[in-house]
Amino acid sequence: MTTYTQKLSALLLAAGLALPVVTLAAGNGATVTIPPVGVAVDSATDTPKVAAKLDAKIAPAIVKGDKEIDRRVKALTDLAARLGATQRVTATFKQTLTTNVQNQINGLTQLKAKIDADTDLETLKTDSKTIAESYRTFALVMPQTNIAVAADREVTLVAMLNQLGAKLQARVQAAGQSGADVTKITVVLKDMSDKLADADIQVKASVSVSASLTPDNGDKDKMTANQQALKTARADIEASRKDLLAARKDAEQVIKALKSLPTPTSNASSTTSTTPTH
Amino acid sequence: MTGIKILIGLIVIGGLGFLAWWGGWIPMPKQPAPVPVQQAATTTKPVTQAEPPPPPLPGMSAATDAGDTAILQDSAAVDAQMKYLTTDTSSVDASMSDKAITQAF
Repeated sequence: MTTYTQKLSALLLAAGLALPVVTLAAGNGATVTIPPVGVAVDSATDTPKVAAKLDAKIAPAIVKGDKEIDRRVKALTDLAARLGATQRVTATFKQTLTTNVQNQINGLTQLKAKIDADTDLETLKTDSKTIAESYRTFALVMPQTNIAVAADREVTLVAMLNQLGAKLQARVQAAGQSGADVTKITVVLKDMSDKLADADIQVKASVSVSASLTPDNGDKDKMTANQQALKTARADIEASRKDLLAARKDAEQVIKALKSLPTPTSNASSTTSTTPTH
Repeated sequence: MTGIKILIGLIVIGGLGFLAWWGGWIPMPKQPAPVPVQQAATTTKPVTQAEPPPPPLPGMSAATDAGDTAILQDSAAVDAQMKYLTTDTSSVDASMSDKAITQAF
């Protein structure tokens, strides 16, 4: 290649033209790149100037590319840790998400290594394009996994509050049997139960609408559908969160009301756990 | 000439024998009754497989304990998890509104 270039240069120079040629030494094999027109090489002493101009373009581009990759890898790594801590997501779904996240990290790490080794502008442009293209997968995997993580916590909270609700119900029943007026508390307890039931529905809907989404691979219709599905899942997560906050407030209200009641004669410290059914 | 007569005789006898068999006068040996194939026994898993127990609820007291201390503990455990709800939804929002850094050469 170098020989051919040299011959070509000699020919054009002989014709009175200045052929801008810069040879960038790659790690394993010479790569010849033609820099932008207007950069002339009249002698060997000008080569460093051209190389410097090229470096001025390549170096910042590599830094920028690295920055974007590092940003994504960090976000994915953090998410992988959170995903690992989930408990109620099904094992299969969890494995799928973990694999997706890890594949993204691996791909980006390899791409970064390649970009760091790039020595010519054209290859760097191609690699930078790959960063942009891979973003579409990143843009799906991140919210999809975040929704699963959020859903996992909400499902856990539904179970926790249901257990607390069962205990509160036992206490309210005991108080009622002791002659206390528990009408108002029972209403609040019923609201708590309803909120938890709705939270459970919403959180399950969020997972079912987002779990099966796949990268659009450039398909705009699919991209739009994916975005819509993620928005729906996001709304479900938010609705579940509000239900949980309301249920927690109800629980607090019941606890306060129980404290104000006279102590029941029978000890309710040991009961059988049942989900509130009122 | 004698050989031809014997051959014709054999053909006639054979033909008569065939006709006798075809007409049902000669009973065919009975086929042995088929032996019912014993279905090989297969091991099957019980229909109701034991489901894995649900994961423990973080920080919660025993499900059967409805005492004041247990309720207090459960409330604290719920609050500890509730704190992360905002973080979780913020993470979802951030990932949905994320923008890539673009390169301009």
